[in-house]
Amino acid sequence: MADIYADGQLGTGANNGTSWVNAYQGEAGLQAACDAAVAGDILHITRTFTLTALTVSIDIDIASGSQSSPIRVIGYNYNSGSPVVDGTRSIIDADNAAVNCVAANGVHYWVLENIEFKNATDDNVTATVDEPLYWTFINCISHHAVADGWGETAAISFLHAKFIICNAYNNTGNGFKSHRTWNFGCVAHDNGAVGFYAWRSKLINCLSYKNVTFGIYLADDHCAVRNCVIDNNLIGININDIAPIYACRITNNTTGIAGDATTTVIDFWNFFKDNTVNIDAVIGSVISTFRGEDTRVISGETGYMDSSNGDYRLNRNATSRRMQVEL
Amino acid sequence: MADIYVDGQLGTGANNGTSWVNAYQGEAGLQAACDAAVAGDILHITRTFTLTAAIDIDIASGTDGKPIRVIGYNYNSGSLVVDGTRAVVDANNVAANCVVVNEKNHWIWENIEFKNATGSNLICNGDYARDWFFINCISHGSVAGDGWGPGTDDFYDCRFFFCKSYNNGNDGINIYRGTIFGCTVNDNGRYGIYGRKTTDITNSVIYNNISYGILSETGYESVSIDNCVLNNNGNAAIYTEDITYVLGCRITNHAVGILGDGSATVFNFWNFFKDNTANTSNITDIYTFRGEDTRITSGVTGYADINNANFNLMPDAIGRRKEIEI
Repeated sequence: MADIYADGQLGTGANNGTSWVNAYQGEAGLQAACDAAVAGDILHITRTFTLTALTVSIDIDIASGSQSSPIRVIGYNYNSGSPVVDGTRSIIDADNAAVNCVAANGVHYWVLENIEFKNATDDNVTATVDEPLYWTFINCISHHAVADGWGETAAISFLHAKFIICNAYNNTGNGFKSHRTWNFGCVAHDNGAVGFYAWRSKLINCLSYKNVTFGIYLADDHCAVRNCVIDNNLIGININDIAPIYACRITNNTTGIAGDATTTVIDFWNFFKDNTVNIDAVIGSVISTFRGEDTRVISGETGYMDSSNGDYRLNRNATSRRMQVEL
Repeated sequence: MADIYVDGQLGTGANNGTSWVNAYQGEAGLQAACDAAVAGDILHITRTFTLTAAIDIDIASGTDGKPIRVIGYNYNSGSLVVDGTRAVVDANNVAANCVVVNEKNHWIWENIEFKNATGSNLICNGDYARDWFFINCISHGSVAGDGWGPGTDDFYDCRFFFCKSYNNGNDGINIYRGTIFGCTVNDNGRYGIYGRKTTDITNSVIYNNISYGILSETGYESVSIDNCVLNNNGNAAIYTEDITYVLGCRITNHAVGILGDGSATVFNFWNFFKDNTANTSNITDIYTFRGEDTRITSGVTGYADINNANFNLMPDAIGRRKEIEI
């Protein structure tokens, strides 16, 4: 298990990835580092990798990690030459030239932490040819893609990816688009299509706002949405099958939850406010009662701290801040 | 979409399920009601059904937009009401199971108690049963099996909301690609939850199970566990053979908190560990976020009354809340 170093802006040293001093350099260096990695390796990367020379993506298509030995890519704060991991993200900038920042093809068990992806002419991060399995993104951001923040190519998507505290915004297409995904503490906003476009996926503690079409689109079965805030999208959550939506705050959408006659919604403990319609009347079945009581809250104070600036924490006056159910 | 009425102890009326007065009666009546149901129907059931054989669900499925619902009522001296009181399906230590499902999908069970099967209280045979929901249900006292178990196949894409499974001979809940939310699983003879294939377990309490609180099985993709309390399970709180995500949990009083088989990576974020002999063992452990160790390994556990299984947290409990700047 090796440590491999890459620096987006280094111009000195051996360019062989053995240390920060001799780190792989620039976009070619990052590609070399990804090609060199094997299961258990850690790629330490820092500063900005601008994809101008290759004008294609960083291709991750050589090696897989494993269940016990994933390949990790960790972004560092450059910190004036003393790199440190503090959550500051290393940047992969497609610079409006490269098609993608990262394209993954048939390799599995990669973990990317503290990385910012931006400015691709298609998806910033995408899957191609053969589905990449079991990727985890932690504290990553993807924005200003011409297509999706995290997307798919020719219906090949990340499968079983996990997103922990990630953010996708200002992408022309969707924020997150993946299959059998688990999003925890993620934010999608101001995307040109859907915030979270999900098949067979779970969204927990997520925030989706100001996306042009749907805040969340549950395109298939086996989805669940729990403890999320969905605000100011055309449709808050659009469901295509059967899904539990619980303990969410669904506000300021034209339709809170939409579906059709083949849709069942388990609608438990949700707060609805200022939607033109809370739940689409054509939905086949809506189950909102628990132990005989309607669990929905449809009045009271929304209580966002400062939603106009994306601060959706709840103030003390917010209705339904907490729930406690006797077991 | 019809309403069908069933009373476990009624001895008068037409026994045709058209009203409470003429409700289907007893064990045979419950079987008849399940056989008669079609997509969109609601079975209203009350009181105790004492079984001599399992109720077989093998005739009809619901659909995506028209599930078949089974709702338990409080008998309330004949003025029936839905208030969370459960109708009881009692295998009476005679029937092998309370309910056996064979490839029928989209059923929703609310306010039902299953108990005392000689095997597992609920099983799936023949082929998988998909998109079942259990809401405010209890399963306990199965002698040699699980509260919810597989048979020859699995409950698949099933969801459990505020259910309990306890004192079963084997596992509490055996789940395949499902969701467990707000459940309590305790004092089972083997595992509390046997989780497979992208199952997510949230806001649940899992304690005093003989072997593992949760088993995350290999080859079935990853199980995610968040905001749960795991206390005093026999061998480990969590045993994992695959990638597992454990976030915001309270893991206390075990020989090992999170135990692996050597092939597992655990994303171990914002968990509170206390009074485990070892907090983790034999896993690839990823626990830093933005460069900081997210684990809490000291401070007041703060359960309100652990001796009476009250795991609510007192104000002085460490790690009650976390806030992460996004």
